[in-house]
Amino acid sequence: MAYFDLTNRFWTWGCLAIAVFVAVQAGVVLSEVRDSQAALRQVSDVSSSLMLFDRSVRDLEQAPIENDRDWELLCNAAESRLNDVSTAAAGTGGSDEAIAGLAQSLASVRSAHDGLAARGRASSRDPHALTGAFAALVTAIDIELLRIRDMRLERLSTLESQQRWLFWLVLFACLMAIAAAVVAIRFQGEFSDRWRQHAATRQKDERYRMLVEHASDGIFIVDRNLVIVDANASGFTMLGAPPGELEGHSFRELIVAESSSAMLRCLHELKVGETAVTEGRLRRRDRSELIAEVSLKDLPDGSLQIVLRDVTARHMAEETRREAEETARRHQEALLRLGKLESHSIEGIQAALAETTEVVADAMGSSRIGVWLFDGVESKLRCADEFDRKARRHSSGIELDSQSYPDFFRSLTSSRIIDAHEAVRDSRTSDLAGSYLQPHGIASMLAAAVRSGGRVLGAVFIEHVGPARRWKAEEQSFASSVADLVSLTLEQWERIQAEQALRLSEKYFRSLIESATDIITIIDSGGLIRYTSPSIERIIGRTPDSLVGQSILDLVHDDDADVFRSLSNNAAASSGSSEGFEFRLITKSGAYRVLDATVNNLLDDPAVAGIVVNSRDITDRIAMERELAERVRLANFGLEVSFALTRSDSLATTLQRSADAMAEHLGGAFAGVWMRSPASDGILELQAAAGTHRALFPSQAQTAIGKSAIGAIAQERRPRLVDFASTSTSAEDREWAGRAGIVAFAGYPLIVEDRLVGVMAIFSPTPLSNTTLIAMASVADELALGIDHAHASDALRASEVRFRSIVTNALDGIITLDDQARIESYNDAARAIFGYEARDITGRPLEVLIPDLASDETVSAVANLRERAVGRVTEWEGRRNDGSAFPLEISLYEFEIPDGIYIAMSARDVSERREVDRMKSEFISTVSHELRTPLTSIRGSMSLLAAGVLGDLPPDASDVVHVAARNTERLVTLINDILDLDRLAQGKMELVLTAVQVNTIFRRSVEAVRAFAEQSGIAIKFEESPLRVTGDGDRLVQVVVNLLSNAVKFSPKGGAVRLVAFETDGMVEIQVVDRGRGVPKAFHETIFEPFHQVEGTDAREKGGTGLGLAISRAIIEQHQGSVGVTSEEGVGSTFWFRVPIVVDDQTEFAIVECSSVLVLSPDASARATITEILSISSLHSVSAATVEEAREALDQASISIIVLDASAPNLSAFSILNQLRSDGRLSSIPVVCIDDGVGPRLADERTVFAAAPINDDRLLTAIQRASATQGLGDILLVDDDEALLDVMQRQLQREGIASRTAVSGREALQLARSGTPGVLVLDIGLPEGDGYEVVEALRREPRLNRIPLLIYTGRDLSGFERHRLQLGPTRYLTKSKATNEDFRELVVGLLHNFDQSGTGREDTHHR
Amino acid sequence: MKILIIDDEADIRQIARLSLSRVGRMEVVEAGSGFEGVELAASESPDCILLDVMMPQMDGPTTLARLRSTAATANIPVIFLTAKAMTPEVKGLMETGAAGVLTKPFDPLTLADQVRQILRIS
Repeated sequence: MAYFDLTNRFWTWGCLAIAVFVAVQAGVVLSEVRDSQAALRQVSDVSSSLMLFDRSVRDLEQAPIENDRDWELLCNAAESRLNDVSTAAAGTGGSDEAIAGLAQSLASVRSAHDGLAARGRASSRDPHALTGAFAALVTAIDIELLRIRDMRLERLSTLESQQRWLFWLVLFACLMAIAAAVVAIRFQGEFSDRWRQHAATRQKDERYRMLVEHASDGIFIVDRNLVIVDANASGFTMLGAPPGELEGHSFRELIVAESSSAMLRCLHELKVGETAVTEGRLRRRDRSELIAEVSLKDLPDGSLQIVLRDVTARHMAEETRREAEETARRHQEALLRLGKLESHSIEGIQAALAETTEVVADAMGSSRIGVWLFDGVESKLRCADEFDRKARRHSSGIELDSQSYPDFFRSLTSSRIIDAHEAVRDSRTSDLAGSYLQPHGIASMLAAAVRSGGRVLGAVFIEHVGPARRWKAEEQSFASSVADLVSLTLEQWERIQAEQALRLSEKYFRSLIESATDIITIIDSGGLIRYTSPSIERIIGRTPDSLVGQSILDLVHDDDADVFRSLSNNAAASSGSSEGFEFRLITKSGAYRVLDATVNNLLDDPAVAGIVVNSRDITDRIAMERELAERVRLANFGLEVSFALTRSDSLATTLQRSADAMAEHLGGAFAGVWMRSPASDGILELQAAAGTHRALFPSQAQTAIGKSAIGAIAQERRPRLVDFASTSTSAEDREWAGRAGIVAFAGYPLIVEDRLVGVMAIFSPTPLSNTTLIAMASVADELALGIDHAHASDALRASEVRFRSIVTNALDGIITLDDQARIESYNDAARAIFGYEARDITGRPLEVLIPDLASDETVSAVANLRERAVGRVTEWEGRRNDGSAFPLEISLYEFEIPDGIYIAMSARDVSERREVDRMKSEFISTVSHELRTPLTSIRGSMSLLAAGVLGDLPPDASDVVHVAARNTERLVTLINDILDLDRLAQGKMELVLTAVQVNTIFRRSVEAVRAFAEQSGIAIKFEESPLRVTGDGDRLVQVVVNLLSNAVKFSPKGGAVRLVAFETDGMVEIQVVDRGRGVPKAFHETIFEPFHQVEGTDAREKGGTGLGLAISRAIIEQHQGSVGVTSEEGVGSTFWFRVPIVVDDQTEFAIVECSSVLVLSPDASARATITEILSISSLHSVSAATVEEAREALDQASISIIVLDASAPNLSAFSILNQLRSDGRLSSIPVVCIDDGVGPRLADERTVFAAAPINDDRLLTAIQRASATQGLGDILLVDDDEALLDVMQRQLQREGIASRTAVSGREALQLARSGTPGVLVLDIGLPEGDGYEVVEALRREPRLNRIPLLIYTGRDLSGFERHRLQLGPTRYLTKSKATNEDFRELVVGLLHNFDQSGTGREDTHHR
Repeated sequence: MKILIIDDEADIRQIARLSLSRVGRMEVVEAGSGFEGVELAASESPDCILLDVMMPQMDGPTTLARLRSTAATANIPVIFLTAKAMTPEVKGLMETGAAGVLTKPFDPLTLADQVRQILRIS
């Protein structure tokens, strides 16, 4: 359809284009036709004009010419005609040569006519001559005209034929266009539908593409030849190739050879539209292999879609599990096979050992397996059989003796198993290295001792050749099981060997009768014993004599009696020896012994005449065989428990499997595992139970440690085997066991690193032997460890869940960041704050949430955070996902976990808090106003009344009014105090910090309380102090007044209060000491709290609001000081506070060499006055009485300004100034001239006049003005970051402001002194004198101490720090929060402000 | 000495009038609003104006600006009377060109003295 669209559109537009083209052509032709027709018309016009001309010429010829006038008329007529001809000819179009000819002819006619006219005037009026000449010319013109007309006509006919053609062409093209358009309109609806469908498809395609691109499966599109056409990102990642690199490669290359055939077959069998799933190995770019689930799909366009899912991890896990299962199965099979080995002969034992080594070698996959036996004594090991698995060859005979290998022998005899991972290095086997291990190339060795009854018989060596290998727990357990089996085999063999040896010797026959272990009994046909050999006594405990004559049937077990009955019955019939059979004999004690018997019917033999029963006690052998079977069972048990532990199931399942295994393999009617209760320490709890008697204990049954058999095991931490039949158990237990049908109990403690984790135990209806404990021992450690691990991981998981839930449910937003400061996790509270969903925000940079925290290119995101926010609480503007901004308090901290270092952020939306603060402040402000207004009226009224301004009152009325007035005062004070406290609490009280003389504080405070003190009869004493403190004088006075009034209030009448000040630890301590009633110790802290007085009634009795001390503390704390009280009840109190001291200038600011003010006055007292004023403002000065002295002073100090006192009588300021200005060095220094304002003043731009008498204000203002005359008015930029300096300088250039730069404190001071800057922009962290030092130094410079200052720093400054940094008008800008516009605006503002208002306005900032 | 008190609270005006006239021996003119105050200032030409800050309709600073814009009243010293005693507010008021600021509640016995002190008249 698309093709049709295109074709149709092409036809429509093509036809239209042709039609237009032809129409244009037709237009051209048409206009040409019109031109030609016009030309023809013109030609006919010319012809007619010519005829008229001809006629007028003829008229001329015939006209009677009377006079000149007639001639003239005729000539004019002819000329006018001629003109007509000319005009007409000009209109014929100038395209032809004919026209040229015509023009020429016309010109000739004109000249002829002109000539004729002239002649006519000369009275030669011969018209014929004229007409003759004209006729020829007219003819010529006529001919020309004819030629033109012919030419035009010919052209016209050509054009007309063309015009016809073109008309038809236009018509045809239009028809075609219309036809195409009709078709187009017909299909238009369909097109737009299709277009919408197309767009939707594209959108869908895009979605699919995204899906595919972001799928976790690798998706490949390949062509029929398996060449990769396209693949998604996961595909490339999976194969470790950069995107795009695989395209064009064959997919076949990626398939590992082994799995290629399967995959290719799968491909071949694939039918169109079907999906085939297979699994195969693929090779990554780095040659590593990938196991993938491959699904193939034949796409309709002939290509193939291959989807890869990485299942390597799953495969590996399965592989490991399968391997463990396989090992366990192999081991189990091997043990079962070995358990069945018979070894009744020497050959038998050799074969049994050979088979053992082979089976074990195959089961373990080890290179060499050997069974070594001690040669009699435990000093020499001899190899009984060694099997080399690779060569499939047995060998034997090598010997190892204990003297050469003492360590190895010691280890072998002392431990059950030696698991030497690196045998050559392992201390237990390193002995063997040189002579045994290395020659055989043995890397790892596992040796299990073969023991029997505490004796070591030998060992099973499992040796591994090649790279070292670790011995797994199940392999170790297997090895010891093998060793146990070998020991059993050996014991069995030893016994058999002994039997055979006896049987083979001659002595056998002799002792057969006398002392043989076999019993020979002769019974008669009636079954009565006629003879029995003495050995019977050993077996059944009865003497042969006592037995003779008794029936054999009385001695055998009832079940076996039939054999003997039949023996007697058939005695006659069957003679000769019989098959062997087993029977049981009753011993004297009532027990049975099993005997193996052969019967010889010798009734016919006269020598014997009886039936000879030759029997042998095989009870022990049977027991032995039973034990062997039990051991196999136990080995299986061990394996099963190991198996349960290797499965990564939950702890409960593992315990259940273990209990099941115990019940099944250890023969327990009840098997259980008890574990320490997590809730209470001394309690064991039954966690898993199995067996037929499962109801013996209820589930979760608890037992106290120390109580009962299980509790005792837990307490003693020793295994126990209890036979309930024996007397060692309590009667109670016996009774319980009897009731439950239990005969024996075995329990084993589960201990890990000295910690008891639980107890495993079985209760059995049959007797249990030590082997049960051995079996338990073999699994106890493993089980205990397994439980411990499971506990630990459970605990870890629980703790993780706990922390996760804390984080998730925390009220603060908690966000963790990765090493690029991108958001890694994000809790619910953070979602509530910022509005983003966790999935939308993770992975994005933090600046999405806090735009101001964006870092520039120079620092990494993390370093940026570390510098600006880590480790403290900071406030920023947060940005929600709807774009709204809000105040956000964050605290960032770094933490380290094994994964690496993370940054976490806890964030809190403080908009509400800000709002509350604002409302509180507003509320207090309002209340203050609303309360004050009525109070003003009340207080005023009371005060006027009380003072008698409105006339005297009666005494009673006056008293009452006084009471009211006094309480009004209290109310006013209370309101003021509350407001003060609120302002202090909010940090809104601005301190004006200066260096304050302690003396001044003392004097002002004492003055303030004097009246009150005198009234109370208290004397206030203080000592003069030279100390100065940094602080706000008014506020410090407020504090001292407060403390003094308290002291006065609580001092007894006639007492004294003392004020003391001294220096301590860089602070000044001021004490107010009284001898009052004292403050109880319990109140020492609380009295500084608002409304906390020692006694509740104090406020009313002693006056005061109860806020004084709280306010005092707040003020002192704002001074970075401390406040407190020491007191003894009844003796007095000392209230003290400490505020920072002002240290002597020279020592503190060593980097600054002060420049000085030169005081020039002939009058010593005037000099002293001026010097004092200067010193109050911390300005250094030198004095001079004459100009000469001034010059000398200049040699010794740097002088920045001269104060000239010209106010003294008889002194001319004019002359002194003249002297100064004429001196080279002094002439450039600004001068403040104090004069009476009467005499003539020297016009000098560097001189400022101040009127006498001088005072502080006038002098300092004049000094400032004078120093400004020397200023450069530029900006001094100080920062150690040169790049930033460059930026700032450029910013200022934009404003047309010049600037200088300095990178250190020292340089800043030098530059400032060399020319006073208009504004100083100062960083704080600077080399060679930081910002504080620079400000302090500048404060001491008379010319520089009022420079407008912009502190531009990365730090957030406290109120106190801000005060320390004040110079002239001072502004603060934090680098991280300020834009370039802020910076420019502030600098320009400061510069402007300074220019406009000079020094006056910001003076309150200063001293 | 003639003093104009502009305050919307009649009680305050009365106390201030009593205080200034009885204690300070000054001639007192009262106005209850900024508008009235501006008119009276022009007609009475007082030596000083005591101006409340918070008033309905036309507040203290606006009244001051109005006074400054008329030639006849432009140079009369104005002292603000405010219940807002916080430093920044007082500072702000000083910057509007007032001669001084007195805070409420004022002491009627010393009010006149304080006014004189601000005006530097002894």
